[in-house]
Amino acid sequence: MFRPVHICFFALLALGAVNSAQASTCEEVTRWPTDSWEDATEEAREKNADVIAELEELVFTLEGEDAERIGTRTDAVVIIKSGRLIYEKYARGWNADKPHLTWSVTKSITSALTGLAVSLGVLSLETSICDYYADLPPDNCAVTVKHLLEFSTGFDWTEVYENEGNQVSSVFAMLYGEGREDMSTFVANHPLRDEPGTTYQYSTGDATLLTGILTKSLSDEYGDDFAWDLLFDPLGMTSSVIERDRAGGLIGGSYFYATPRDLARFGYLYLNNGCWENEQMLPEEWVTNSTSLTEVMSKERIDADPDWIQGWMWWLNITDDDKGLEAPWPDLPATAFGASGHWGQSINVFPTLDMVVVRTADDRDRSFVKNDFLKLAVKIGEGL
Amino acid sequence: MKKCLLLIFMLGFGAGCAEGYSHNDLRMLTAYRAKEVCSCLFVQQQTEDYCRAYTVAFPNLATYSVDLEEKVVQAEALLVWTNTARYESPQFGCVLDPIQ
Repeated sequence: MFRPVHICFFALLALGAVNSAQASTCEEVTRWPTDSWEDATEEAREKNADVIAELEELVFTLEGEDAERIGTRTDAVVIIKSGRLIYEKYARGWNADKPHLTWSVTKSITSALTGLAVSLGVLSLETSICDYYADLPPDNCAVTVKHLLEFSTGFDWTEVYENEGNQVSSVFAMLYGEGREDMSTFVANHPLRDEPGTTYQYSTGDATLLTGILTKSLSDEYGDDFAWDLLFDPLGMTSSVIERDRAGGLIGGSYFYATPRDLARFGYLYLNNGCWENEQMLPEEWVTNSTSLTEVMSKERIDADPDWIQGWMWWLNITDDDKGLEAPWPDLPATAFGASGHWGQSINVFPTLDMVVVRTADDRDRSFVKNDFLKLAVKIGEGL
Repeated sequence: MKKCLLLIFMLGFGAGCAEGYSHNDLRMLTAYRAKEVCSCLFVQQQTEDYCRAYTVAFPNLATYSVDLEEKVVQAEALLVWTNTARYESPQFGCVLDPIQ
């Protein structure tokens, strides 16, 4: 007969097996930015000075007066190669210590937090929004965590920004208007335009509803600091700030801030398939699924804006003629993926080059060509 | 005549010209400016000049004042619409006050 202590023993054995299985999936990486990134900027400057000069001319040359808001307005570039900092530059009043607003890069943070919640067994991809929100229109209960992750909720949502129609912008209504006090409830009450899981509509609302669910599901056990306990603290992202609404829900579509060096840490987690300090922090399968074409985009020809090819809240570099998908960064490897935000924010991950490239900016006129920037950025890593 | 034009202007931007959500543009502009100035100053640690330029939005009618000690930003448009944002904490940054 088994006593409770035996059950505990076998449970510990099983847990150990799981842990060692998880650890075994992590390749041995020798460089981790435990305290800070190892500095190889001088070495890079000696080897690739010409490329660096070309990159700086492309992205750090300002046009016109500041008030005109024209041209490329880079605030920072940080480049990591094989776990070492090989390039770093700040401009326009920014430095290594100031956290920068990342806008929709926040969605990729939300995706990672969701992966952690799923791995803890707190949520599943099939969890309905009605498990956390009462009195919703009955049809809305068909919306699940997976639909939120792949922007296929079907909500009647209008994703437009400044100067594109303030009165019809669901984003503005949520952030600054009638929805701002309890944003996730505001999103969850939107009527459905399409059956969930059948169409793609990029939506800051979907990401915000997802962090509303994360807040409700994780706060009891982990407190208000769950994002720090589960993600930011283990990665050493000490500059992290994520704003919340008056109901306490994290605003997971828009309002994450961090320094570029800390943003590179988040990219480095994904570069290493969810491993950190050689331990499987985020399940490898979650990283793979997050950086693969979503089910809804795989179903049919989307003819999406090239910049909006989606994994689970990560942007992809896929070309697929049958689906009308054209890689947004044609001069970069097809395996590249990135987090991307309004006005030029990005974390770009290059698994085949062992590189992470971060850029923060305030680009207002859409003239910046990300492909040209990334092409030069990865060349700085050559020979290092 | 000037008063008439101002009234038309205020009704146009204030009450909203088209169907949509139940906000109006000027109230929303003050919310945008209060929140983003607050975050720019107290989260991003930028200068007031930078934050002023960074948060200009069309129409540029939302002015603001900052209480640096309390870390509160109040924005106002045409003496009618106001919104206030305040710094909550190092982890959670700024948040808008309840809708009035």
